[in-house]
Amino acid sequence: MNYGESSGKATSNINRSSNGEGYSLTKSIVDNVKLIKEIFHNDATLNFRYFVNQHNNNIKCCIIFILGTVDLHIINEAIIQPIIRNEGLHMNNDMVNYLKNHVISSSGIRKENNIDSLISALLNGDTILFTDGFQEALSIDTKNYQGRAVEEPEAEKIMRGPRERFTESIFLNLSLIRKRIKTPNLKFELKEIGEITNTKLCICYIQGIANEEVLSEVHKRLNDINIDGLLDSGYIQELIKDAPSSPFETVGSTERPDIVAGKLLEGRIAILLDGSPTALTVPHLFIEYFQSNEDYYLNFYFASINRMLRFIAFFMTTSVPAIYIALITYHQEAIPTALLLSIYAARQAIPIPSIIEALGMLLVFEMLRETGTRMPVIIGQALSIVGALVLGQAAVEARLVSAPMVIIVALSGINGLMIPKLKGALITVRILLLLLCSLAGFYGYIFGVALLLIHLLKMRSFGMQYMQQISISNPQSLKDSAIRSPWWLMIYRPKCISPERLKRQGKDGNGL
Amino acid sequence: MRKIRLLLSTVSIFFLLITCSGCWNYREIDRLAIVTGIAIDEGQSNKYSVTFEFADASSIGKETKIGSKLVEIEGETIFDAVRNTIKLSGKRLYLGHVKVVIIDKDIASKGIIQVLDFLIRDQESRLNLNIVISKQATASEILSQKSVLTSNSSMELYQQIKSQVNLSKSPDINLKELINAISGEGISAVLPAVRITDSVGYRTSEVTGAAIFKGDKLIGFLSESETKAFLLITNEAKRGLLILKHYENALPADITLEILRANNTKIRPSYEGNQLVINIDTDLKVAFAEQGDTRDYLTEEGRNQLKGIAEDTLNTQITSLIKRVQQEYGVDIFGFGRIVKAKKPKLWRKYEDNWVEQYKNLDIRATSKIDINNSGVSKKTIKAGD
Repeated sequence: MNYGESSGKATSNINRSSNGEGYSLTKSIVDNVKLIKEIFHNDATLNFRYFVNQHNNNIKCCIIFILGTVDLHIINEAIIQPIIRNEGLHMNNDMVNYLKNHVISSSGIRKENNIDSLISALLNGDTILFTDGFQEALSIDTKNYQGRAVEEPEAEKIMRGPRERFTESIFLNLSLIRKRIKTPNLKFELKEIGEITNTKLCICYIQGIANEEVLSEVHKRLNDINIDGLLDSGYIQELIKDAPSSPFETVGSTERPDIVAGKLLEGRIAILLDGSPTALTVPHLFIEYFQSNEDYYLNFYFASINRMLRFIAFFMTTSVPAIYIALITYHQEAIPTALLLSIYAARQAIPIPSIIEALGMLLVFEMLRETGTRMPVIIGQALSIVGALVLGQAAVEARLVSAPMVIIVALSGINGLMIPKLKGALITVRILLLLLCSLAGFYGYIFGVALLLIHLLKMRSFGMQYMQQISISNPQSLKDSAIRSPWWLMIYRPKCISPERLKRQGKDGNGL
Repeated sequence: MRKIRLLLSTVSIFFLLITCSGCWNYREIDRLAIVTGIAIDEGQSNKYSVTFEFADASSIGKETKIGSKLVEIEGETIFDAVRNTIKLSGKRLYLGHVKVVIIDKDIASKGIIQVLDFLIRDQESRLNLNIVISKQATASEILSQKSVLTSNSSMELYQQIKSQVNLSKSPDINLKELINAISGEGISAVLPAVRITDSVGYRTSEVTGAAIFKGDKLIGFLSESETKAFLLITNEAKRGLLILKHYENALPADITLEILRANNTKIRPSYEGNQLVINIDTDLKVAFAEQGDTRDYLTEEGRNQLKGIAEDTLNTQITSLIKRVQQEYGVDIFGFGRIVKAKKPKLWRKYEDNWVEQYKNLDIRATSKIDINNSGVSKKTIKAGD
């Protein structure tokens, strides 16, 4: 087997800098082990274990595995013990098959003589068994990566609904999805991605519901990725995005398996990456920022109110500072007299212009937010004291900032936290509108909103119009927009996502 | 290249549109001097002496106090006086929140065109501000009186005028309506009047009755009860009381009716025997609110009698008011001419040229219809025993 050519992704050039000649397996166990050692030189986690059958000293074996990726217990119980103790082993041509079929008790076992495949298997937690006198090796599944157990979601909190969260292990994650959708039509397509990291990636969809065009587009975009390594699905999210420079995402992300299952049932496609507890869903429309999985579990009146709150929050968080600045620096006549006077009183003796005050306070809020995210939980109290007392109360009392501005910034900030996935876009839009308002008052605001709308309406996510479900021309799509209609009214899937197999309820229309 | 062109055209459209958006500029709210009221008097060395009431906000720490301050300054014109305040305060006046403009009766009797022109032409002052005429003191004195419930006397004056809905003793006329009345054909202007009154331990301003105009010149005042009749005729009254003079055993025992609904007055011009007749049909819904004697008015007979008294009283009030205005002032504050023009345009052409003279001899026929809807929460009359 010619090892030197670039056929094997699994073995990149790091292990073999100068050695240009090809490698191939031989019948000698010593040579084979030496070969592996050479490929992995300087790797202390690579372990070898020679052993001999107690009844037949001619049968020499060696297993190779990487510490930390395997379950040593399985290796002892299922490989070493059965081979050492076995009485029926004879040196003949069929011995490797005999080992594979009669001796070793493991759920996954393959006969290999391709060194590329062996190395790839070794790196994925398999154990390699060489037998003296045979060129073929056995690759035995003993994977046991250390990882987290399934925990409660932290970034997407809910009151009611499943409390499971994806972990870093892709197969555990897939099992969490499979647990919810038990149909052979649920497809998992595995890929490897990343030149060095060789990270596993899985494309999930329900055949028959998912849009084929979107699926092939996903494949196309994933195949175009050419990167050394991927440590989180965030890499993919940015690499396959439709509008690369827009602050709005066209690829959805979630850490909850029930959300992924819900999206799959609507005809969307999910992408999971090994090592990342965040799954991606495409196509992702603007409205999805405002939908929470909880909306579908709670009473529809309550859910609809929450939806509307999120829309109001979007308006408030982007526009409140801008409108306030426009009002107090350009359009004083538009403020009711009593309110004008109290703002007027609060602004007395404030040394800085309103716009600088607003930008400064927004900056302070973002600093507090970022500090809150980064700092260790133990010192959290210090932040709330410094943030609330020193920066809020004391700054107002010292007349460095006016009290209304603190309220405005807090209102804008708190409302922004209601739609956490939109955070980057919110800050951008907020600052943009604020600056436009400080330049031209309400006129600037309207201009900014027009720009924002043009931008959003122009965007596509995997061929779907980004603002699709917000248009009032289609009453069907409105059922799951600003309000969440009761389940007995939502008979159809979102039309734009799954053009065929629309019906999701009824006797003959559940899709498949 | 296409993108750059798109960007450039967007930016240029943005800047082009700025030129269409009218008057604007960035000004910090705390750099303004927010004027809430203006009083205009005759000046000593100049033509006008103008008093401004500012909102004065002082804040120490968390405490904020909104008070008011007065500045009096003279100027050859109103705008001159407005600009002259810079000499005193350093801040530019901001007239966007002016609530009331008080015009002294001496200025008003010489004409208020100049004041009105400034107020309309200035881009900041609003068309819905209220204009009042000072009846007994100078405008400046009225503005400098202590206010009862708020810290700002012009805001309080504004509230007094707006609350006339429940009182109907003074008209609520804003700048726009005033201009329409002054420049309109077949109608003359009316404005609320203010004076200074003594309350418990302090003096304050009160709105009382109305001032009537011939063109832009003040020619007289209406009393409070006359103003109420005036408001009933012109359909401006909504609430208020109707007091019926009544005597029992030669002692005054007046009856009070509360007007529940009033704005249903119809003015119909008719032409009878070469004579223009104005029919005024008032239609009130009232509640029996207070009585001074022990008679039971809630019987069928009592109600009819009460109704008769009330209708007669109202008719008398209306006709006597119109008579007085016709004969004493000769100005059509009721807008009869305007109504004739709208309802009988052919007839109007005949009267158009000398309407003022014709108006003085108009025949008025007042008919009233008063429905007594309820008697409050009491069904019985208090019986005076031994």
